[in-house]
Amino acid sequence: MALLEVRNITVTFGGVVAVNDVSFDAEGGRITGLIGPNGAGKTTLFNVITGLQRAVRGQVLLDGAEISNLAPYQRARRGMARTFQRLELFGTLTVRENVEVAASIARRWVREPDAPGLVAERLIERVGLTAVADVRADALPTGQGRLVELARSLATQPRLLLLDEPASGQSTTETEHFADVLRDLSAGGMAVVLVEHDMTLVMNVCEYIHVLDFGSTLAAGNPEQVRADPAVLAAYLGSEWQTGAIA
Amino acid sequence: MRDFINFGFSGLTTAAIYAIAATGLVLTYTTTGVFNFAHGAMGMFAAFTYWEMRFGWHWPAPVALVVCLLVLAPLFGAILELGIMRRLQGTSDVTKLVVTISVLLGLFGLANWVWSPSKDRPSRTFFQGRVVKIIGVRLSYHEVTVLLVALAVAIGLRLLLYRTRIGVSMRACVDDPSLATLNGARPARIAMLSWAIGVGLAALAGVLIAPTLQLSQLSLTLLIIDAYAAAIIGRLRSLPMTFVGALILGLANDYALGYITRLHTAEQYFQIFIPSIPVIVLFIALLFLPQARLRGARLQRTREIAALPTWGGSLWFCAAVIAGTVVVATSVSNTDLVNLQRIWGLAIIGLSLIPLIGLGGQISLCQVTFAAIGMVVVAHVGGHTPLAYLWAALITGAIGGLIALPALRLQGIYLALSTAAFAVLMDRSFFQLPKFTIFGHRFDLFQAGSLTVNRPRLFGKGVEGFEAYFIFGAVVFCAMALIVVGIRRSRFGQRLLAMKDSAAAVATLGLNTTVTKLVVFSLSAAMAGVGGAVYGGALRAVDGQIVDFFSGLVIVMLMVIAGLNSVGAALFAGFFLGVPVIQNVFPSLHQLQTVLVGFAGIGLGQNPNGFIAQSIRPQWDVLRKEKQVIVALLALVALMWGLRLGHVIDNWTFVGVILGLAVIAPPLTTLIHSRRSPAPAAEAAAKPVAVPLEWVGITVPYQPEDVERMDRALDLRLVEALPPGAGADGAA
Repeated sequence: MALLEVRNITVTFGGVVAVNDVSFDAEGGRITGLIGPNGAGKTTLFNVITGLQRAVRGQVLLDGAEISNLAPYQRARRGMARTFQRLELFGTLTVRENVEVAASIARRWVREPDAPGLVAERLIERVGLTAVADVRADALPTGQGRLVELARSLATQPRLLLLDEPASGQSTTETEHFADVLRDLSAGGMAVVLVEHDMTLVMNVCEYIHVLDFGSTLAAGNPEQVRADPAVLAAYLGSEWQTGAIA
Repeated sequence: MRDFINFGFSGLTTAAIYAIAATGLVLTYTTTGVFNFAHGAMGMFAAFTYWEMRFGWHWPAPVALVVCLLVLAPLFGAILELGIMRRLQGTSDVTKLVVTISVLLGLFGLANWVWSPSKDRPSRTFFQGRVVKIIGVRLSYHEVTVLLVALAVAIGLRLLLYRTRIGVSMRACVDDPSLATLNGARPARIAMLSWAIGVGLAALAGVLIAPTLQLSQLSLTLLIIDAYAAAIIGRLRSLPMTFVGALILGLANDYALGYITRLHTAEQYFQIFIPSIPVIVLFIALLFLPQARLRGARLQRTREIAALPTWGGSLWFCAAVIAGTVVVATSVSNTDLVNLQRIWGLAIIGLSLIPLIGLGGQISLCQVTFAAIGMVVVAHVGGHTPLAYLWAALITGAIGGLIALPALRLQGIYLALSTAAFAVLMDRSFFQLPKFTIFGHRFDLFQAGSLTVNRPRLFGKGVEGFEAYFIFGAVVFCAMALIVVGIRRSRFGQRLLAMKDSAAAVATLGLNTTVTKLVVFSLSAAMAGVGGAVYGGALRAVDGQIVDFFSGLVIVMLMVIAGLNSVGAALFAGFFLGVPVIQNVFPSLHQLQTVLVGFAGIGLGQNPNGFIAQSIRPQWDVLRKEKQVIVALLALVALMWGLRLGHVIDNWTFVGVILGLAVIAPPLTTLIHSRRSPAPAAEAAAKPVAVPLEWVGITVPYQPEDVERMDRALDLRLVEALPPGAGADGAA
């Protein structure tokens, strides 16, 4: 049984169907890619999984238990954490405080809580932000802001990590370091879901990829299968492109 | 049956006026995102202006109506949008709300100043005395006019929004302003139009209701509270539902008015609640509103200053406050102390807003109501035990939680609305209740105006004298200030700030935002309760009129103007209200104080950090580096105090010298400092910067040379150099 099971989720805004009957799984120890053009419904799906958005139909299961009616904070306490595409940093706090807040909130339910200060120190080093640890978060450029969000979500010791375009705004070297961090996390048993436009990163780290287009599932499979899928090629590059053109 | 129809028709008339007022409110809120708290005040001002034209200058009614409703009111709305509201885009909900509250206070103060409330202003209804009979009910022409006007407004708005180009753009703006811009709409023009229409409708409601109500600044301004009950039934969005809301409200009001007066039992109790019917409807409507979606922070235009106060600095601050209090207590006469004693209670009420608004980003407009409850509790606990303060804190905290509960799951604006409604409910009804008995226990809240608030006994000695109570107040204030600093420095304080920055993010990290808000709201209510107890002790005897909604608004405004992140702001608020300087020196200008507060608040759109963080702190910070100057200043103050105690100088000289010192100290110290240690800024600039290029402008100031460095690094020598200072906010 997969850690996260998304079952037949449909979301509408007014008359527009943003997500149409989408199902996918995220397993522990695996990095799952969720890709698709802008407006495909990726972020909406994340919002549904984390409880920020209600689905019209469908279910979200964590560990096989239905969590569709739980509030966002209750889902977080069951081991779910996310980052945001449009940064949601605690701008008036420093980078360190951003991570400390998360660690102190999580102390109530994680198994082996460390002092928030320690957690922050460790995670800031891990994502490579030690030099700016005491800078206010709203003073950082976007790329570093994304790393703060990553460190912050890791401070809650999640089993499921949802990353919404974490690499956009990062330089090539930063992205490479980031890919290492992701592989590390996944090797430690965490289920990672990655929404990303950087196809090099996606094809590199993801073992399973789910492609959305206009709210519906277009294709799913391992990177080779997805790369070879004509529908994906058509959606991404126009139909005249040949197989193998991505990545 | 006859009565039923009669009351029904009069209910319809009331409903019509509520509908006109509420639709204006909804229109501006949906198209511009600003909830206009001053809506009622604008109606009030228009009603007075109309009265002046019609009965003061004897203009014919049609001319006065056209000038007032079709020229002045829309013009005022358009100017307001252009001058003030437009700049509010990208500011926080709290700033938006506070700016409209300041417009409310400004208009209210101005109206009281121009049209003295003590003078009677007989007003006549339209078509005085003429009546028409409809299905056996006698309706005055005035009532018929009101009904027809409401109908015309409904049809007119429907046509405007659905049949005209600009109306369609307006509806598009409601859904998504940036998208509407892409499709050729011009949000600036639309916003101006909707403010013009909104103020026009407020004016229309004001002019129509004024003849049936008394022409009074207070009751007309508070029309807003009644109207927004209807707006909330329309979920601040839907105009048809707003009309339905107005209908419910109007009918409930007039049937209650009609039938309750005929009750034979408990009539006096019910009657007290009649004015509160809209507020009660509002609370019920809030319960039925669907849960709001958690939203993330949107980009803020101005960066907020949220400096972390240190324990050392805070203790120095408290020491200075208490020392200053002792100096004042021993210098001024007892008659002055009677007034000055009020400072501390008010300042503590101000302090209570810091965790709530400053840290948590939640607004409350009923802190003075909690203060009044605190007073009542201390008075009823009786005796002189300091434990009474604990009771005051506990009981107001519990009541605060209860009040906030329905609104907490909703967006910020609803908390402001429901706290305002609660304040008005208490003002109009609960605080006016005669004696009553519940479960065999007799309650008499204010004992017909002679409720005595005891001063506590400490260490076996009563804090009764003027000096003693003045100093006691300062000590309680300092204790509360240290609690506030403690909260800011705690994990809880961090969480509050995080929640203010992004509610969506803290929720997905596992924080129950509803509980967090509830805790901070109760805490702040409890602090206000203690403030009220201290305030009540200063007054000794209080009655049900002791607090009113407006004084509460003024405290919020003063706190925001001074800066909600600093304890000093509370001191400022206490002084401003407790020492009515302007009023004492120029009695004829006592409205000026309200007007001033109003106008100061209007500037907030530009400077939401408040003047303490923005101007005063940076000026005084230099003193920390020059310890000798501090010693010299203290010595001077001590000397002056000695001279004052020895009656060598009088109070005016004393205060004059102290104020003079306060004015010259910062520039003087800056001068001394720059002489002693040649500008460290220049030093830093001369030193080569050894940080990675990407962090220039983030961890070190951005210098003109950096452009050159960046050009070299990117091999952009041919590209025209950027003007120095451009991009100073970072290399994002």
